[in-house]
Amino acid sequence: MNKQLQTQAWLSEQAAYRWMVFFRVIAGFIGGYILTAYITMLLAEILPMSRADAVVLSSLLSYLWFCMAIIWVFAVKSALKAWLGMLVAIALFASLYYAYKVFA
Amino acid sequence: MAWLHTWVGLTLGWVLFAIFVTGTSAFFKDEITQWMQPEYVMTAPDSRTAAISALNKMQETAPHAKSWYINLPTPRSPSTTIYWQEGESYKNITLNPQTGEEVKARDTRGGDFFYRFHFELYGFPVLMGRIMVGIAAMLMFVALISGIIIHKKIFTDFFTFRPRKGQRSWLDFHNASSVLALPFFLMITYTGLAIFFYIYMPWGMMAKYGEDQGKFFDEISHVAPDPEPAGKTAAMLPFGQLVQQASSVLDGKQIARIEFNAPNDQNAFAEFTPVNDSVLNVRAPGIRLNAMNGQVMPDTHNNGTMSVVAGGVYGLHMAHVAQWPLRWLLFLSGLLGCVMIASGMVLWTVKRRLQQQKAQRFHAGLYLVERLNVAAIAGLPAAMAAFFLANRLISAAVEGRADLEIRAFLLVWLFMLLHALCRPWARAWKEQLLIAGLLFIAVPVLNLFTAPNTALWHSLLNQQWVFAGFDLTMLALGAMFLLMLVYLQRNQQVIAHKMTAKIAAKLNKKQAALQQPEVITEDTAASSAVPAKD
Repeated sequence: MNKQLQTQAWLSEQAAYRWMVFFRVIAGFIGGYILTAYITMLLAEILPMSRADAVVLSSLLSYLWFCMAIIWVFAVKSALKAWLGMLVAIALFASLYYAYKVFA
Repeated sequence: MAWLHTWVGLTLGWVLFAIFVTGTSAFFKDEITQWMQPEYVMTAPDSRTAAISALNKMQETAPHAKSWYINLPTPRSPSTTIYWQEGESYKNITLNPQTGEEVKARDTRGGDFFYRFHFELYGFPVLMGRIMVGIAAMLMFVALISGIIIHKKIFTDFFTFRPRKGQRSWLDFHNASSVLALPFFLMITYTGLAIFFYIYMPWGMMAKYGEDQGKFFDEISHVAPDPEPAGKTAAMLPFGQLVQQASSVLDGKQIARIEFNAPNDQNAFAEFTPVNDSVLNVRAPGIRLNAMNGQVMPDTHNNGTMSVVAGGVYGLHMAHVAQWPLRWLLFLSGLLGCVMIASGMVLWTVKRRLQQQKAQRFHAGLYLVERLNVAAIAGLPAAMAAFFLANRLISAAVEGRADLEIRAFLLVWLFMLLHALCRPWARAWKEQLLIAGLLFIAVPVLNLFTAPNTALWHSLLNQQWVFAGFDLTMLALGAMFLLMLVYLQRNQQVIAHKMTAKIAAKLNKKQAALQQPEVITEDTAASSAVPAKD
């Protein structure tokens, strides 16, 4: 039963796997980078220190967010979930950043 | 996650290996440069003598430069270097610290070539090279963290080594070398990324400073702006008096660097930085003297926490305060890093080769990866040895010889690549290990004839440790490659035999299992689970 379903699928199992990897790479590296950029900009704005210090600290921390984002994308069960999670996180931090710029 | 680790490692393994090899050599970049200029052997005088002679030379050469930068001799580099800005570009001269005369040593990039290679590669525009290295470093960071996560038995595996077992031995070796120096790998990769945050992660800076990056660097280093030049010439305090004054303010500490602002101007001032052997921060501040009257000026350095942290990140990566024992330890950790990356890359091919033998078909990707591994792991070190040999073989008087040395390095590397592509795989390994080993051993041997004043027996007798250390390291590296060759020669047959037997046994078992599908023994279940584990 299961085997039949697989052979009837419009993509072969191997091709589907490769697309899944490709989409995760995009979500992890490009999505993760955009997410990191927003987190870093937000932190640079809100950290309670002089602006030069805030830039240093937020930039030093940025690699940790980026690394965590990549690993998370590859650890989640489904590629779809990884994509959705990434988009939600980007939307959240982008809106927080712009909200801060507007209201503060 | 395991396959993230595997593929990240594979895609950038070669770049990472090259970065690690050249970067490791950079722990000794000043010593390498010294070895590559053998006509220049001297002991450094007192830093005050050197400071005065350098300042006199600057006054004579560029009295109206915007500023002067003077690096005084250190135990690692016994010459003085002076820099100044002329128009848009910087000029520099190496001086004899005793007399202030220009040193006429052979033209070479020295250790600086590998140092720059490790963060800019070679032949690319600077920014592009740095971005490529940055991507590789970020992937290294991801590979390290994901490697820790997939590696649940980190402690027990460290004490596990199963030699002469093909794939298992490579995995054990990869694990042990990674765990042993893991703190070093994390530190060096992270600080390397952090140093170039203004290229890789400029978003925080963009948010607060927009396009005005210079302003950020001003603010992080100084709390108040430097005095502007007045535009009027004035007579400065004699250099002897100025240096005397600096020395007494610094409690007689050796001076490492002098930065002279607006020389011969009414507002001229000089900053004297003492030798730093204990503070991690590379920007550990010096003292500022008014060049007209020698008075101490207020300290305008930014000594805030984040500023010190930023300087400390630099300091960690550059190991600028490391004394000999620590420097050697860092060098060995760097070598372990090369070994870790190399064994990971070999592990990938050993595993695929096994699968390919099972499936019995040719795989172009595997062919290429195996060959590139040879050209990177044995080929790059061989090319580096060729760089040192070229330094002794190309006459000191030849025009543009620094470029010729680089060309020798690139040509030998290219030759090794072509050789690896053409030869049968196992032969390619053995031949390249032999070539690398012989080239390294040839370096001190050639040195006996071409620079007898630094020949090994001579440098050992005269306690010229930089030269002796360099030659002995070359011999050790050569011996290491030859030992690898001997090991390969002895064990290749045994391992190959074991592997073929294993594959045959597995195939037999599979067939047996197919004939009686309902009987699945624990043994087959376990053996099929093995490849999935790593």
